[in-house]
Amino acid sequence: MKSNLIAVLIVVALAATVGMANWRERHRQAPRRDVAADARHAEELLRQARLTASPRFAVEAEGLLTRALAEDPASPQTYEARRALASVYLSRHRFRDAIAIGEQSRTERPLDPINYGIIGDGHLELGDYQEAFDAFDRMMQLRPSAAAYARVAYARELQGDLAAAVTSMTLAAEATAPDDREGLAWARAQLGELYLQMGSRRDAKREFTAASHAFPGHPFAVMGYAKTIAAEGNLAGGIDALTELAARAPTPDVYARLGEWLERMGRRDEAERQYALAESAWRMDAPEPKNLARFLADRGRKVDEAVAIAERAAEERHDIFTDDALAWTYYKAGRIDEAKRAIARALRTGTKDREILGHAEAICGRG
Amino acid sequence: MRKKLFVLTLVVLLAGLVMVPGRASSHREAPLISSDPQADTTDVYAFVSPDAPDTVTLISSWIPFENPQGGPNFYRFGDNVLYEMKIDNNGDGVEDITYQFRFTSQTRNPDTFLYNTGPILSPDSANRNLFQTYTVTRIDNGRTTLTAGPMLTMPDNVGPASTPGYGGNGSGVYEYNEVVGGRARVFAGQTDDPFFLDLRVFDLLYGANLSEAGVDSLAGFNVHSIALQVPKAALRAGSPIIGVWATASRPATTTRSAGSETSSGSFVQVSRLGMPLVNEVVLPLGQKDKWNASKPADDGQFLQYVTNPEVPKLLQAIYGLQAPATPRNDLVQVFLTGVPGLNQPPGVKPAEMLRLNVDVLPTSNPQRLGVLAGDIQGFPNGRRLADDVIDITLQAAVGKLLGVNTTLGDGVDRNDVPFRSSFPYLGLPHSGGNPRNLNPNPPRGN
Repeated sequence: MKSNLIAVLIVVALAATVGMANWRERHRQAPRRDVAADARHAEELLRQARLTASPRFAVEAEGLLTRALAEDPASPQTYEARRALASVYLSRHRFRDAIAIGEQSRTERPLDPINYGIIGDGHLELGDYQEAFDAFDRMMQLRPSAAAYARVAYARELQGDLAAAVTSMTLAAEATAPDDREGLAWARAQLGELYLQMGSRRDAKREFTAASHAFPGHPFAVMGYAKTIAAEGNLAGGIDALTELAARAPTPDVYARLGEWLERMGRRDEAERQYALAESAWRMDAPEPKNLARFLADRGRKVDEAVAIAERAAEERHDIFTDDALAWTYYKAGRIDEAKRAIARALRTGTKDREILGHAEAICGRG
Repeated sequence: MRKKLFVLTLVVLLAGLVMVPGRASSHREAPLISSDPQADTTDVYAFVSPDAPDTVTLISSWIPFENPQGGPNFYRFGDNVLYEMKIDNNGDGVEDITYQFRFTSQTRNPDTFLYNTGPILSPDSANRNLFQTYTVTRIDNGRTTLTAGPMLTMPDNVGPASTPGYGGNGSGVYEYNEVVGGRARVFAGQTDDPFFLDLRVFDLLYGANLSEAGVDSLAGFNVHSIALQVPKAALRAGSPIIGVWATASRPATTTRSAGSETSSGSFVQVSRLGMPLVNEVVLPLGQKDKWNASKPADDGQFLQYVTNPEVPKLLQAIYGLQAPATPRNDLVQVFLTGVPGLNQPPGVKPAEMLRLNVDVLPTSNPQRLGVLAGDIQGFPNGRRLADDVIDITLQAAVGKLLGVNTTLGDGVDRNDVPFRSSFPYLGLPHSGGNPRNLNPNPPRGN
């Protein structure tokens, strides 16, 4: 009697399991994939990548979009997902792939300003500035927005017109949706960086504080604030802020700057540790070899390797920062004529970037 | 020394573990997708004022879905947005009169980010730390004819501690002199969102049971509204029929130096709205960018979406409601030209705007279905706050104006809060003290 009951229970349980499996199967197939939601999800993952400095979010976004686009890569319903994939490619420094998608999307919807943002971002990073600026102007003419203002601001900054950059970045901050706190913090932190470049530390401090108010702990706000107080002589405060940042959003840049400040305070061993972290991190940073090259050149180490890395980077891109890295490594290797040619290219947009100008002075000072 | 080297090696190895190739670090990754609620118009209204029938009230609402608990930044109009109400009074699709609204944010104490530093008992309260002033400028065929202001916007309804007795101390209504006809009135600030509908209607259109609708999706949300009450004489020309629409524009900056840019540079239109639901119901997705930048005078390019609309086809496919034969010239009258004998101006050029015959006097017995219920003072003859434009549009879409018998609707017949009986008529904003009525123990006060 008892064993009969158990048998019945087992049969019922099996039936239920099979039924559940069938039900799951049916429902897995039933709803059409919401590709537009996947696109929005990917955009949020990219935002998370910015906040955590962790590349896994961009990798996750790429996987999500690749799956979303697998079924129907070309239909109008997947337009947003394709556009989002271009953003992911930008984030992963696959600039030519991003431009290719941007151009396709532009053919499809020539009045969508976002396509011009993608195309412009790609060209900008590759160093094709005229194409980039044309795309940003078109984006702006179609629809002035926080995204368009921020890009015009960067274009102005590259040309050394910092006042116009501040004007446009202020418009970006004010056009950001009030509930987009991360976007607001991003724009305010960019303004802070512009003021720092202009030597206006008081304004910079105000902007970085506003950025932190909008989004407490935003990495760009923390980094900017630390740089400002360090410039005021408060190296210990800057080190504290970056140590905290390195623990949750590590980037090679944070390690390198920590190393620099520790060294200036005479804390040589701790500085060496940060430099080692920075070098290691930059070696893993596949898409940005120019940063590693410049870092090595700065420290006067492995200069031959630095030159080789910078030359390889320059085969891929000719943006002014790559040209600058190339110039600096040549200079450190004593190849002054090549350094001069490269630094002239780095100065071609009229940039007032302090590091580039400093390199130019050193290189040209050598006669 | 060996120990130090070991630690260093370990640190480097660990760092290598957390780094994955593919990091982005140098370029700044400026946000690419950004919404712009301050320049996003939700609704436009135009009606003969029920308590002042020699005037017309014009309203535009902005910033969708304001959570009454908007802190700490709270909502405000965009300082760099050019807000405009445009009026075509001869039917040629081009504005003859433009009202421009410009807002300026100010802070009394720059050392605090707080919205208020004590209770706000009036719009000009010294405790109102962050406040906005605005001006109104009227332009007649390109010529500036009047400027009024600066005036104060009404503050946000922060909550009973910050804004006690909201609306009891100062209404935010100002008077100014119009070019003709005498006194006019203006209001700008936070209000209840006057629109009412079940947004699920846009889901249900794609397959389900329309009788499931019936919840006001916008209940409990606020917007920012701009309202004008202007003598009819200051708006009409020969014909009593005026067309009304709202736009928002932002200044363009350029990548290359072409002189000096200021925030009052060349403006680019980023949104426009006249008739409700055109963006949602009539236009296909790929056309929205073009639409938001376009002018009514060029609306001929969108004609096909009105004469051969998508919604009736969907309703036929999903609900078996027979779609009327195309081309739908009845819908062209609703959306583009006005209805002959009611609100179609002589020699009209098809253009999307809210068309109001100002000679139709207010009725003492308004019907939510407006013209469809025989109440010719209502939508689509202009639009009153209480007109049920979703039901009217759905019924018009399936052919009510062609004699089809239908009671189609979203089940939401009125707004969640009552409209006021005098200018600006809009409901007071919901309090941050009890957002969306979710607080089981709401604070006393408001």
